Amino acid sequence: MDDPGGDSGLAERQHRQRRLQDAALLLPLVGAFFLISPVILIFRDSSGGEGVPAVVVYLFSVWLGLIVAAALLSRSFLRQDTHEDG
Amino acid sequence: MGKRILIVEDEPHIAESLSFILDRAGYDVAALDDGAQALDQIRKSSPDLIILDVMLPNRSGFDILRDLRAGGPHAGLPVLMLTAKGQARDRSAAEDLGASRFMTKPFSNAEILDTVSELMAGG
Amino acid sequence: MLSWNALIWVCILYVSFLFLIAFWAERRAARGALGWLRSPVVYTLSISVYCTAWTFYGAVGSAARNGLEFVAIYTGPTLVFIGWWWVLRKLVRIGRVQRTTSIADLISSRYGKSPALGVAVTLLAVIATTPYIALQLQSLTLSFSAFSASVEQAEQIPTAGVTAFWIAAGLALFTILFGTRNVDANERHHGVVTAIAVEAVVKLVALLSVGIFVVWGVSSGPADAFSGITAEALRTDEIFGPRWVAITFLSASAIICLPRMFQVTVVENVDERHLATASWAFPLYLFLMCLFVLPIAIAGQTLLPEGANPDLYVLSVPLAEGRNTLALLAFLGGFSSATSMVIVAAIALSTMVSNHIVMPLWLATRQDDTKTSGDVRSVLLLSRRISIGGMLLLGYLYFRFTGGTGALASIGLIAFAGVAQVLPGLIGGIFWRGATKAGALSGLAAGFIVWAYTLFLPSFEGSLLVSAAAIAEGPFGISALRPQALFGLSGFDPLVHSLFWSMAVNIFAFMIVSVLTVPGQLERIQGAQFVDVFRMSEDGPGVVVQRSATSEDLFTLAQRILGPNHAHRLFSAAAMEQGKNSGLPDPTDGFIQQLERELAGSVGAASAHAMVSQIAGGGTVSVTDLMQIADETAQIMTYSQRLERQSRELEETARQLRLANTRLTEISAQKDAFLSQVSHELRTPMTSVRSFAEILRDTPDLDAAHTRRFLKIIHDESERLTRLLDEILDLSFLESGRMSWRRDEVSLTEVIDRALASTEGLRDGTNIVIHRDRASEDVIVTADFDRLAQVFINLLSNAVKYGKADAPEIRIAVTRFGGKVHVDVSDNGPGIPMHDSERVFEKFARLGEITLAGGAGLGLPISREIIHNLGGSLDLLPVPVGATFRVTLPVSETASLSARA
Repeated sequence: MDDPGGDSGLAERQHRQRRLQDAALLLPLVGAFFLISPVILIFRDSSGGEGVPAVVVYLFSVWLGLIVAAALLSRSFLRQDTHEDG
Repeated sequence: MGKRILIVEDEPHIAESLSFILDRAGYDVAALDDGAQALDQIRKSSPDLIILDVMLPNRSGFDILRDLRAGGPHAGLPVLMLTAKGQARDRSAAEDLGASRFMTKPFSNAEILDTVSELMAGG
Repeated sequence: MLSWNALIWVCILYVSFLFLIAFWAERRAARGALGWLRSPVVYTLSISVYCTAWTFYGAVGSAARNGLEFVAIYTGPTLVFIGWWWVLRKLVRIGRVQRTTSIADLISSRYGKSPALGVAVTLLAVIATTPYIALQLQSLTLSFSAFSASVEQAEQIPTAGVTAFWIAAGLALFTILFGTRNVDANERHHGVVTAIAVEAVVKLVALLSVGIFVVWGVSSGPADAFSGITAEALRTDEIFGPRWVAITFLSASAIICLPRMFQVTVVENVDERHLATASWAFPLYLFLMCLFVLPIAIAGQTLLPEGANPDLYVLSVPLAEGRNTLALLAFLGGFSSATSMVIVAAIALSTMVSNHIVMPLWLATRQDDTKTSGDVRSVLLLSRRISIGGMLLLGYLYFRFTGGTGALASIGLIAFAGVAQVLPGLIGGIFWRGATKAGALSGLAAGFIVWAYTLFLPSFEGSLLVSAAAIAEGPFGISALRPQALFGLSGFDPLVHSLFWSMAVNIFAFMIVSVLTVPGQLERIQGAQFVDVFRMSEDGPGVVVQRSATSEDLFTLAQRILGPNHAHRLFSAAAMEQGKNSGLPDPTDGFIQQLERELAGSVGAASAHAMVSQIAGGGTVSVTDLMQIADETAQIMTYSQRLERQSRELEETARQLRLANTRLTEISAQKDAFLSQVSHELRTPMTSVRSFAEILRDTPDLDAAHTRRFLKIIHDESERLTRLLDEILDLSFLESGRMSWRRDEVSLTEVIDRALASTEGLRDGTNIVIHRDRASEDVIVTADFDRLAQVFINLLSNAVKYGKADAPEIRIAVTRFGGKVHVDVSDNGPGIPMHDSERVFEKFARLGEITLAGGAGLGLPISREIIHNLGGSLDLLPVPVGATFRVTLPVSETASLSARA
């Protein structure tokens, strides 16, 4: 954009904000899908053998993934906030 | 017998001065101060030239001119219009209606005489 | 090796350390230098009060017994926090805008400041939290005994009951010292929050240390640590069913509804942006807390003898391995978990108890007293201190009563299911405008009863209210009413069973009753404020909550609803009635009733009643809150009125603009016409002057008579020019107000005589008849004789000029009217059309095509200007025949007096 402070810049920012909000609303639904839906049962029996059971790896990986996603979202929100304040 | 001139002018002093100079120049001059009677008077006396003021009581000079030019035996009479307003709008209105000449008050006597003789010669 | 006494000393030292931190933080907060105390990190760490001893010890115990089930207790809150945009963000905003002090306050406030709901939520919270506090006491006591049993002789150790009692007493003291230092407007406790944050770090470090020791110290890495674990031990076949979903739901609702979680998440929040950080940082904290739970559980099962309490593995594994320092750290971690939970829960509950139960009672018993604010504050503080003590005493009694039986985890889940009954009313309240107080109360009550019957009471295994037989066979043998298999719905986990029924009943009762009942005015206002919190305007912060009703408060309230003037009149009238010459009236019953009636006229009876009765006692809703409602109502009312008025004003303005525009166009056209007119009027005499001057110049032989006549004409026309210029100057002088005026006693008769004489020349040669009544003209006015005569000369000239009729008449009529005199000058000519009645007074106005001989149309404007300057008026009267101008003048007072005498 040639003119980031102009209308196009504003529209861009509003669009970004809306996408961020949608992502924030979507994230817990995605989390719920992976954590409490029957999807979890896929990993139920694959725990045989050596090492950390697959279901444990699955649960903690999903968990960590959600945390990382939330952290990225939160960073975007806070950055946008400071942009608006400044 | 000199050519006849009808002066239609409501200001008595102006009519008097016009009459005086035209009379001395050899014309046969009659004066009238009411716009409503102008056309009748023209028909009655059939002058050779009319000197017509714009602002007249009862009937404006423009209306008289329009009716005069509209037809009849006197439609082609030379008409010298006088106005005290002197606005370009009045001048163009007068020309549109077919005034032969248009002069703004105050005029110079010589100018009046020149114009009248010019119109008499042309007409 | 630590002796029992040494352990006590460690605890005391640790508590003192926390004490110092809390004290230091309070000092900084008091100086306003919060600095990093306000950071999102501290906020996140304080939220970790969710992880109690139940987590610290119980998660490992749960993992040992139920495999992966413990994870669901942490994934629920994780979902809530990563989905903060849905619920938490709104709660935090509402909490700040409404200055919410607790979850009971929030719900009560949402449903029209309902005292009943406040009490209900408070009672539910107390009942659900008491076992939870007992749980902390139990785990602390257990950890004491586990730790010291390994090093000391049994007889030196006090019994569990005594230990628990002293722990409870110590915690009560700490909580009272830091939880009730002030009655802060937003109920924030910086000292406590900071101490809690430090404890959060301690418990995390402790659990991580034990975990790392187990994985890399005892085992040789994660693979080794998990070796030997089977799918059966993880219970993967059983747990990923309804119970898994139920526990996730319960923990998710607990993170919102638990009083202590509400306290740290909403009440103690100082910046909404901190929530964005906590949205990932708090799940990360939970993640780390859970990371080593399974390895520790596995290590406990392999290292420790059969029958060792799994709930103490965190402590007993390092002890069994001879790592005393690590064990001490683990002990402090557990100690931190338990103490932080108890402290925050006690603060949250004491706030609820004092605000929703003690204060209403206190206000009810002291209805007649004048309530000073200091009075209320001290009562509040005292009631909170007593409540804190009471909560810990209840917890202690519960611990003694149940004898410390039952696994930790089950007590925690029972408490979760209890507080989850608040959820429908809470979520419905902030998202659904139609939710009503009756609905919320019904749902809460129904859910609570079902929860108590199906889960809480059976947990006592027959020792409280419901007997063991009733649990097994149903009360009175009615099997359909078996607490754990209602209506024969058997085969379910009791927790799932209870949650299903209680939530179903709760939600249906809430929604159906909400639909069937009509919310009160206050409820509707509050409902709108909560549901649309992001769209509502915010109030400025920093208003101190004042819980006393004084005349000032009532006056402020009245001012905001009735407006300052009305309120002032009302209050001063009441003060007069009470025999006071100044100041505000006493808030007597009579006066309050009167005020309520007045307010009802503005906001409706229900709201007025709620406001006045709450401000005057009987309720605990703060005056500030009431002011806000009042403002809202007034705003809504004035806003709609203003809109109406504005559209009316806009229409009126547009109309006036259109008029003005038409007028301007007219004036502009008039100005053009006038300039043309002036030009004409000036050129006409000039033409004569020039023409005759030329004749005189160019005609040397002119006779003497002509010469004389022409010179006279030149002279007359010059005078005419002068007169015209004089008139223009005259008018501009009159209008600029620079004219000097004489003020004499002037006789109207003389003025009219003069005017008639002056216009005699004009009437020469006409047959105009003048009618006048000299007797009625005998009036004295204060005026400038010449100027007044000028006016009548003008009027008479106009009448002569324009009053053209076959038998023209001019009539001069003088009438006295009060202190004024009318002089009417009428002609019987064609008259002036009504639409020109004002235009005739405008400068240079020409009526129709009439040429104003001898003037430029300035006569009437000048006349009017003169009469205005004499204190009178000049108007054109609407008459059927001719034109009548009326001059109205004030009669000279001295003259009329002398006339009377």
